Amino acid sequence: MKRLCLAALLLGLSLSASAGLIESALDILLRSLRSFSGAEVLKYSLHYDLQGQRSGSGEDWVSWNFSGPVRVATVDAADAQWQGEGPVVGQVVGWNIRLRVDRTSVGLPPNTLTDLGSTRLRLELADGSVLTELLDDPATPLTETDIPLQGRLLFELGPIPGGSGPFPVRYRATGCMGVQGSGSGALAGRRGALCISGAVGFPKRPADFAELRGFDRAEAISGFTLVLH
Amino acid sequence: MPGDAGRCRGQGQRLPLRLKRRARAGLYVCLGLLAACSEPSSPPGGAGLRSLLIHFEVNATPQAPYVDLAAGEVFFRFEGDMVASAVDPATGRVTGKGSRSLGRFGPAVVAFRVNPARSPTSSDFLTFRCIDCGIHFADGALLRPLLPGDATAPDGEPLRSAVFDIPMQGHFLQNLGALSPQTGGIGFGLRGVGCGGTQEVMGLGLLAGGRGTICMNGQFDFSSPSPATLAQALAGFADGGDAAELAALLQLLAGSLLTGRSDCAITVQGQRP
Repeated sequence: MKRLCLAALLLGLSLSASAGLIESALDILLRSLRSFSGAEVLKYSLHYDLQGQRSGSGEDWVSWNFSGPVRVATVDAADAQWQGEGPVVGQVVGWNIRLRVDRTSVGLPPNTLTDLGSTRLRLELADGSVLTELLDDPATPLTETDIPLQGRLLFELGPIPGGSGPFPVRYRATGCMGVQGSGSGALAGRRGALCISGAVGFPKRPADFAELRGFDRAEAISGFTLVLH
Repeated sequence: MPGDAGRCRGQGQRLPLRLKRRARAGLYVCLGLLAACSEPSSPPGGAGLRSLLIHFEVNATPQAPYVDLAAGEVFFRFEGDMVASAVDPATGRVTGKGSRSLGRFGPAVVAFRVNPARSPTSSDFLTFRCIDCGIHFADGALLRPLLPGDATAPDGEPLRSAVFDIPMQGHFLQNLGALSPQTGGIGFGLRGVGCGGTQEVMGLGLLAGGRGTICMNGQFDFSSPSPATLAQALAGFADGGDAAELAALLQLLAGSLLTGRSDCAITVQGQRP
């Protein structure tokens, strides 16, 4: 009975959408272009230092849940050097990052075909803002704004020299994703993008992907820019 | 720190024995503080990396072959100034930009690509890639893309490594809606983001010999077409655009008057002389 009700609800929503009763993401986009107002753009320079626990793996993927503090990343006005040791202004909670590799590539680090995906981002800022992902919801008949993380782990650049501590072998990670703000802070109700420019660290150098996906723990360190409006 | 430095002044003057001991102890404290102060702060990606956060503002001019209908691409050449981004150290808010020029961003030959197979609500509908991009720093550093197939080098530049393939994966975020142009003038802005591989090829400057990534998180400002005209062109893709609608959108983009601006993270690892 419940399934029948759910199917009826979905059908109703779909018919409503097709009849124009529910505004689609495309409608919103077109309306925005036709009559936009000057929204203030808010930009941030931040840095995260996260510890991750493996949450799953398969033949060509592995995922970790990352949590940890977010700090201010400062910039030297003279030469633009970016430094990540400012005050703590937030927290990442349970961010699931999935690394997928193309199994047609051979081993590591020559494997250049990697894909970093993201689910369950929750970035809580000290001012009360909460950032989550901006993704299409496959459970609804509507097409929502869809800006998934399109990231890469760059094994081809080799391990970053100078690693130490429990995760001495770090590889570069990069990519951008859509985010939306909620809560009570300055970013509540805004949408935008987060771009990372950092690294993922492992306990030792993996001989191949089979070994890498066996690591229980990892770390993620990165400066990132946030731009929302 | 200015207060700590002030406490160290006058230690070379003649002092009673008791004061000399205190002065010596003070000297050790000062040396310790100096050592702590001179230790470089860690870049955002951790030790072993060199990172910059720059702000660039560039103007676009049409670039041959202008439009490639088969590939769904239009071409522009971007060039402009770059400075350091200005960040509030207490909150992380980017408050503006520095005043000191760091060099020249570009010329950068960029292709915008329309993918009619994707909805305009997807960030994969309108993408961009870097074909031949250079970033010239005042300290002598020159950044080039990390792309394969560099069989020849431009005049005055060393041959680049051809073993990497880390292309710029740029995305227009038209699905976030239009913005006021940051120039404060007429027109509208669309958000643009993307990351790609980069390498310093001259062996000079802060980034000398490094290889890594460049990530922009900014916006493109259009003085033309009008947002209503662009909306009309995009509306044709609601049910997947046909060849005529694709050609119309490409021609519209090719005729754009546009500028770009972004805070841009550059992070490299490896060789430094």
